[in-house]
Amino acid sequence: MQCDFALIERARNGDDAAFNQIVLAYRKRVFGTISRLIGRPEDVEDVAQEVFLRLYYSLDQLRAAEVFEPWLYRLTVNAGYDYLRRRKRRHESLMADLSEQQLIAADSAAGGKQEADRRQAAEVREFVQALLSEVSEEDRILLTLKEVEGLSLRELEQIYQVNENALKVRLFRARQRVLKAYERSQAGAKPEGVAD
Amino acid sequence: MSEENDRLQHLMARYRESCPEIDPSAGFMPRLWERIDARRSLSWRLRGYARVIATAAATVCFAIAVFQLSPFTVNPMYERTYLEALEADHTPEAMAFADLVVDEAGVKR
Repeated sequence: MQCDFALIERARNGDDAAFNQIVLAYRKRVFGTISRLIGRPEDVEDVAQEVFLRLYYSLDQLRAAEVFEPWLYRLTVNAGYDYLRRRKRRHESLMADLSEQQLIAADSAAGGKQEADRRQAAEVREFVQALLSEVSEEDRILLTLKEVEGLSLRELEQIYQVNENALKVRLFRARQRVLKAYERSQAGAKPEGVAD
Repeated sequence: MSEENDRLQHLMARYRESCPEIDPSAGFMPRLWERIDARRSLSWRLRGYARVIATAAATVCFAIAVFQLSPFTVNPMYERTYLEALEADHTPEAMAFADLVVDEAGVKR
């Protein structure tokens, strides 16, 4: 817990200063999760604001301060899911981002190991994002939370409010679908950073 | 398949490392509060309209209730007994007309 229950209780009772403190305590974590969920650095701040906006207006629905973190995670996941759905509806492609990142990489004059590492990291990111864009938003979010965020099954149970078995089935299916997309991608060009 | 699973896990771990740490900009908190206030003022406005509509509806209901209970607007229908109403509905003229219809058509409609 990054802040105490009393602070959450105060925020629930309408104390704006307490809410401000909660945002300050959790914003970095929320930013990180959203960044990995949506894969678009320029939209992370906007989605994070949506998360905290929803938090502000739903704090009175929080049953107990003890379940605050799963609650915040759920809001984050929902906001990420809404964003991904909106983006899909707009038929946006990640390619625009990739070319932008490639341009940035090309623009930087500095060579050496640091530059190579950065390029490799960008390739891994692009590859995984392209892979995750092949599956549904639900699968993408679930797998990101489990494999990238490293959440335990118990934490996922609290977020999704389903039992462990149902969650395992969902995870298995999501993994299978990503693996299929992965196999398909193996046939195409594999980025340098992903090579074994 | 297990090998593929391991490779996927490894790839996801690398993805986590490759994601840049994004720090909130200086305008994050002020803009958040702007959005909270904008929605708050909208909800206040909506609540105000709802209150006005509820008050108007309550006033109309009260007026209708007063009108209905007022001694000057008693409906004569409710003043009659069942027998009086039956009698009023079956006047001798009406009964004679009913007999006439049966006689001419042969069937009672």
